[in-house]
Amino acid sequence: MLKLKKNLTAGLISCLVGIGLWCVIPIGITMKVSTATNAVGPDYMPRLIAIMLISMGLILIVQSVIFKKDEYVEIKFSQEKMVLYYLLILIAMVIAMPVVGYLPAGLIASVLFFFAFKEKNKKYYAIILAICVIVYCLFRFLLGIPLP
Amino acid sequence: MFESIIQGVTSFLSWQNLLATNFGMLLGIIFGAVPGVSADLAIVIMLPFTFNMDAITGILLLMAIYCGGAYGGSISSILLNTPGTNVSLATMFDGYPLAQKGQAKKALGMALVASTIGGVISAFALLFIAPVMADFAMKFAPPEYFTLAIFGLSIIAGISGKSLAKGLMAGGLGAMISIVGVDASSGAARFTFGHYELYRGLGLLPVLLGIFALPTIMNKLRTGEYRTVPEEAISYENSDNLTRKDVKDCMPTILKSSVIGVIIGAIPGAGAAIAAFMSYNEAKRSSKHPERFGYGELIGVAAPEAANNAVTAASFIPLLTLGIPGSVAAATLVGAFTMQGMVVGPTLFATHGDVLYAIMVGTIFVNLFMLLQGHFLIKGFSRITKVPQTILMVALTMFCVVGAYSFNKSMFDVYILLGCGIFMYILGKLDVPGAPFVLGIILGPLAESNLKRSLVMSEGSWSIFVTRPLSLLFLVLTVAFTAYSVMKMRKMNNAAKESGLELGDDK
Repeated sequence: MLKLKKNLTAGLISCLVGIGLWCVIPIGITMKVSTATNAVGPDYMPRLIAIMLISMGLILIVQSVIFKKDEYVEIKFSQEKMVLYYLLILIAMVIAMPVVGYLPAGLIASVLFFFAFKEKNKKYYAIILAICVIVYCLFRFLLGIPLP
Repeated sequence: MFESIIQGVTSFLSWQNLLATNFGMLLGIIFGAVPGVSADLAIVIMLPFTFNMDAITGILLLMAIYCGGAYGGSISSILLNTPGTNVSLATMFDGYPLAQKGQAKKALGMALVASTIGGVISAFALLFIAPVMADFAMKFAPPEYFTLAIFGLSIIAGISGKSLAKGLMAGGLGAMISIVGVDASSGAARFTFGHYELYRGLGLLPVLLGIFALPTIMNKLRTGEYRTVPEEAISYENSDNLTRKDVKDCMPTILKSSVIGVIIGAIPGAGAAIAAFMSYNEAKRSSKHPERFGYGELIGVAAPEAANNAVTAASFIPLLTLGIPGSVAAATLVGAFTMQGMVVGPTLFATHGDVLYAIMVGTIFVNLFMLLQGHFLIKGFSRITKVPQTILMVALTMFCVVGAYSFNKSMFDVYILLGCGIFMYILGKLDVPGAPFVLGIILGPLAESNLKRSLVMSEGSWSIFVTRPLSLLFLVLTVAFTAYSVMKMRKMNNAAKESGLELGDDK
């Protein structure tokens, strides 16, 4: 079980993302654009956002560390197990989609989801397989969007 | 204006629009009634279906889902003692005791009548206030727009979660996502790192689906909620009917609550849950028998239901007039407008006035359809709460994947969906709200372009924002409303905690 302080962790994430954004600006925005003032180039807003994220992160860290205003979140791996199964199946489906196509990948993934959820009702399996096909037909034929 | 309204009625009355609004209404009521999912989610899921539709039809479909969702939540609140959405939390206080006393039909009937009246008043407010406000907003210059965007974002950040700092953090993260791609004002590529998919930026739809849909599913899996068999709903068939006298007795409260709902709805981010609680409290305060509240008082159902539906159309006033989305539903509509080649804001009335009037007139009809559907289909709606959660979750997953892909017909958007979903799931554990994240994506570019123009106007001086009266007014309002909203939200959270539930996003 992992026990995290909500404000402290959120604050650290905010600071890290903000600092990361600030550091990556010179690599991510290489084009220099001359404007009427020197102040407002394409990197102006990203810098403001980075400052905002770092500031909010610091506020949250101060709230947690100095003012002791924080709550704990408990991450129990036994509870997260099902989320991990779900994500693994979803990622596998997304990887398989360009190779085998949406329909086979979706049908197999739906059955795997139900296995993971320990669903025993056979009627539900039939319903979800039908939904997969309906989704395919809706997008492919009604909306004219060719799915992989 | 009168001619425009007549034109709007003519444009609205086509079989496609009637079909789309009724289908949207049905879907909205279903998603509102099933605990754990929301109309906001339904709107996001249905967004890709609107891309190939006519602008009026597509946007009305989404509006109908939103209006239906606000009413649908009352069904599970009254019959199951579980609000379909937080919006219907206040309805539960008196709705369920009424159902227990054998007056479920009366409570459901009152929820329907109050929702319809609230929704119609809200739709009329949108129809008559929005054009006037848009006309006024045409006078705004970049400094006013920039401060307005900040006003919208800070209010939403302040009241959509438990902490203002976390709300602003989420808004910042959303704004960060919005800067990826080609900078509109300079043409410079930002954070593309040579990947051509990143040049067009991160799509709104995959991000929306990732932020709202996937974490909802993952949270249900974590809590094991998908395994729980829905409680048996209280039967309403042999219960008392709603009488004309009941409606007449509750009418002053319905009208007052509708006005409260319209006012709250027009404030960006304030949300239907706040309006419902405020109206409930006001009804209780002004009642001759406040002691009856909580034990099955019919006015206790009428007040929150009128208010939460009065928020629906009114929440589109800031979107259509100023380009500031006041709710997640409104933010999603930005995507729908954009896909139809329309830019939301005051100029929309000048460029696409015909479409807007048809939508605003259609919203009035949408609420009337709600009355018809609620009256004739209530038996079916009461069974919706028994939809197997496993089917719902897998079906939603499939819609998310295909919906994200359909945005640009690219697998890259599916990866964005996954990334945003996992990131938001982690942030959700830390009580970081999703709504400001989305609004950051929309308001980020608006704020940036107007900030740049303002600073060019002032030759780099930030004093331009305090020397112009309107922009200064927005800054003052930002501080005042944020402080007020945070205070109000704390009170609401405390009230919700007492009843064992928590307020967060309006879902």
